[in-house]
Amino acid sequence: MIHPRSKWLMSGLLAIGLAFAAPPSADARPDAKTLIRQVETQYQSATSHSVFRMKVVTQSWTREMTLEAWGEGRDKMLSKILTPKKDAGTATLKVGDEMWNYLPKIDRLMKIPSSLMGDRWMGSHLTNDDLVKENKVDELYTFKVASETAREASIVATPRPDAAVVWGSITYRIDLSRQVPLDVAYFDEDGELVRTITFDQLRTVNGRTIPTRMRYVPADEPGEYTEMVYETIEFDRPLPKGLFSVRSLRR
Amino acid sequence: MIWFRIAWRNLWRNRRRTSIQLAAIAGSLFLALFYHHIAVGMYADMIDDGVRSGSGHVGLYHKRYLDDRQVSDTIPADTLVPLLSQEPGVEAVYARLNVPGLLRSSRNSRPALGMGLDIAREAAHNILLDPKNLVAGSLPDSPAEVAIGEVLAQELQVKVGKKVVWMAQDAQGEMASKLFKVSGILKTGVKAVDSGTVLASREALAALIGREGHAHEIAVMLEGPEAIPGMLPRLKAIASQAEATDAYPWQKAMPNLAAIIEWGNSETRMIVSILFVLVGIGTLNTMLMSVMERTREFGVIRALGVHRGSIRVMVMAEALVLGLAGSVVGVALTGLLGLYTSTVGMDFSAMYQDMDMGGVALDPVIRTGWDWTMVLGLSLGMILLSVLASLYPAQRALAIRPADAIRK
Amino acid sequence: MAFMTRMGFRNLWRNKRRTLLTMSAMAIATALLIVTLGITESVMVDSVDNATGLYHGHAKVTAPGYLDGRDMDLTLDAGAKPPALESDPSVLGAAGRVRGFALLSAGHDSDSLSQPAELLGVSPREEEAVSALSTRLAAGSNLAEGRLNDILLGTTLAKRLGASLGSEVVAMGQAADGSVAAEVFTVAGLLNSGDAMLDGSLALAPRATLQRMFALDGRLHEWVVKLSNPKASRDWAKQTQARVTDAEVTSWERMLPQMAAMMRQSGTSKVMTSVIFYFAVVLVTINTMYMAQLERLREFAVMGAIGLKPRRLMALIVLEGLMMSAIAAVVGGLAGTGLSFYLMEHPIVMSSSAESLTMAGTTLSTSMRSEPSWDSILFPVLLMMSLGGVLSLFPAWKLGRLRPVDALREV
Repeated sequence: MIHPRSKWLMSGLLAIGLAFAAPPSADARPDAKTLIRQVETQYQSATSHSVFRMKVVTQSWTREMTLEAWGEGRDKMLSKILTPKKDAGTATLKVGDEMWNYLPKIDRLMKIPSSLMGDRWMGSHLTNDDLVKENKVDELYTFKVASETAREASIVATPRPDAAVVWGSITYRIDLSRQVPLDVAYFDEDGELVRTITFDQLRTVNGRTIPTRMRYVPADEPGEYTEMVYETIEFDRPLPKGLFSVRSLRR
Repeated sequence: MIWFRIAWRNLWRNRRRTSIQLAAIAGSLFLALFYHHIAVGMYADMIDDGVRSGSGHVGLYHKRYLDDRQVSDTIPADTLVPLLSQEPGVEAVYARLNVPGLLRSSRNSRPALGMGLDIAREAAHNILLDPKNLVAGSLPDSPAEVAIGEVLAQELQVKVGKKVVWMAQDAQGEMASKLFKVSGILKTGVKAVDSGTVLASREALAALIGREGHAHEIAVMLEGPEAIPGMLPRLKAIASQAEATDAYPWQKAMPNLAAIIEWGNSETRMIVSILFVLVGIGTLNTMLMSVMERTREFGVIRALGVHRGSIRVMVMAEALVLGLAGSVVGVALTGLLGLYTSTVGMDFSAMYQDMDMGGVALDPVIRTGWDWTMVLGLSLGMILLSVLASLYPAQRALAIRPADAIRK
Repeated sequence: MAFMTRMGFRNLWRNKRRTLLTMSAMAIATALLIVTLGITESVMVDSVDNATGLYHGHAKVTAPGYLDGRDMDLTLDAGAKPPALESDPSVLGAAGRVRGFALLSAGHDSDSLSQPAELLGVSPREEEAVSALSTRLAAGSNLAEGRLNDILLGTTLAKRLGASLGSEVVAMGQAADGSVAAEVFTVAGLLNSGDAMLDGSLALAPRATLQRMFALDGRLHEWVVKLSNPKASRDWAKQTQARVTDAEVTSWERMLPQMAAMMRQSGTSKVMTSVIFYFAVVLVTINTMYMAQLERLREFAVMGAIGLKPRRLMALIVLEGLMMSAIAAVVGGLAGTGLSFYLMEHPIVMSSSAESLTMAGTTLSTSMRSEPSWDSILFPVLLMMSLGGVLSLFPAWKLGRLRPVDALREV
């Protein structure tokens, strides 16, 4: 199953801009599907290393933390909390469909079972499942350009009839000139908005223009959101061997 | 035989006394048997419901499944079911899968138990699939559909016709997921079902976990629980044709239900014993008293030259006839009432009307059963009781000299 | 009247054997009825006790809405027990709990099995007053003050985790402030409640530890209340709700509607049992009394012949019936009450398995005892007392209409 929001959140975690880092072809504008597929393929080959702040606002509490994250392809990810001190060292490792948490407080590793995949990741509005799911967006959806101006395109993704996707549709707004996403809105089958992810604060890193802030807003929880802001990010640097292993979680 | 004729005549002569004694015996037997049959009926219903939605009278499982309930411990249902269905004495065969996992909608996700059933085959027999449990929509009729519990539907904010994604670990431990359309919403009043059950076709769940044609459980329905001992060896033989598969009687497959029935049976035995003692004392007294009062009569008969032994035999014969007649009347009463209460049943819905049932549907109708062992046992007990109860006072009455007895 | 009473006594005394037989039947019937009513009542009381006594309690006081979604943020002040609970004589005990969900795992291996479980943060001292969980220890020892990292696991949960006594168990969840809640515990005991759901998903830990773990210092989720009369929990909840501000009072009937419905259904079988037993008592009494009076027709007729007026004769017969039934009712009542109380203290073991049984949320205890109540004692006694008089009316009426000569001849 795919959880499309993970596509954007993963890209956010690993290397937001990667997805749209393909140089725009000079003459022919790619069609909607090609655009998304480009996103997929380019993203797969990347490695990344970043430090980002995550702010989670709920009706009962607000929490801010800083995390360091490494990514390789679309299957491997490792993140560690740097601050607050109380949680420092708390780490998440994702390899393929499996996920582990490491808790320095008690020096233990825990594998997340399927029944807890729907739980919040680090208290944010992302679920564990969001981090694990594969990103076969182009296989599961059909795409249609809903509107297009010189600067901006709006692409509607509709799940194929038998695709294991919970959404009714997803609308991507893309800045065509810089090839970056502006926002992604998720709708249920009745066409009601369920959540929105917005991207902004563009920065150029390693020659790529990427949005460094993303904000996830659930539609039915007024005032709540999770925001991620990149402090540093770099691409395609070789990562230490054995980084994505349970052993490295402890380090 | 002559004794029975005399006894018969004696009994007729004192109709009033005889009718009281008859009423005592018949009434006692009736009450005790009726009580027992209510319990028998209730527990038979419970077993029936239990085996229908559970293991069947005999259940086939992977040898590890009953202990560990691992998704990977499946058995080849598509080869076993036809073999089992052919077996004479087998009434129905249901193959099922139980897959725990996560059900997701666009709004939420909840852990739930996915039940894969051959829905068309089971619909008429499984209480879970009873149409009155459906508060909306219909049962799934294609592998692309599921019916889910009402609470689950509320939490996921989905309605009939909407899509949900079922996510579970497959037999290899890999994560698998599949899209379903909600075809119906179930409300049973059982919390575990309403908040945690996803009803799907076995075909769909088997494909999802990568075990096409397999099942975790094959429930075999026989003519009744009494047919189990005779059928078990043959069913075990069929089970042994598949790898690591065995057949278990429902008591093994559902030890909890078996324990509850055992508990209920011992409660019934105890209450019936108390009831029997109670009514038995009534009968005993009636018999004792009636013979005691006949001291004078016995005196007269002895004065006419009849031996004590003969009188004793006469009293015994009378008691025997009374006991028999009383038992026949009592059993007949039980049977007649049972004809009604076992088919139509006793409706207690009036009792529930003013009560807040919290949305729980219960069958307010109690149907009685029939237990020949108890019918014969209690009848014999009653007859024995009446004979013994007359012998003792007769003995005392006969100890008195005829002359004194007549004067009494 | 005094004369009549004397005469009645003399009549009864004259045929001691018959009188004693009649009265013994009536007394035994009364006693057995009392015992049976007590037993059927106990089945219901025990079911409520078993269903509520381990985990749910008879009622709960929570922050409004907590029980609906068990939102971790909906808490009460742990320092202040609601005054409504302190002063109420129908409250036998109240225990504050913190509840949280966590992923448990045993052992250091990253692939070791982990299981979701509910962590119940309790104070062992308070808990004793409301819950019987501490009596369901299958192995090890209970939580104790000061042993802050002890945990009790349901037997099935422990088995699934591969944990045993002394094992280290790691709990991980989400704290109320959104941070990661984590703690290491040592398995101090295993619980075998007989309730499959609890045994597979419940873990008990010290309240203070869970408050720290879930960032809920000084807070708790619920006060679990034990009431002197669980059957009245709904009324209690309603009354208490009126006296409690900014908290919600919930009775077990509302927490467990299915259980409450089952109770009502077993109420049906209780009614059936009672009806049949009352019938049996009436049958026994009718038969014995009628038989006794039948045998005395001649005696009555003689009394009529020597000049006792029919109305006085009728009165005498009814009076005799009343005297017998009154004595039998008192004797039987005492015996039945005694036996009932004995069975309350010394239950009869019913099931071979040592655990209690659970099905569809209902729990049955494995032993059968009696639960005497005023109703179950007074009704049979009063019934028996009045039966004697009522049942004498018919022969009395019949004799009153019979001419003495005919009566003499009838015998």
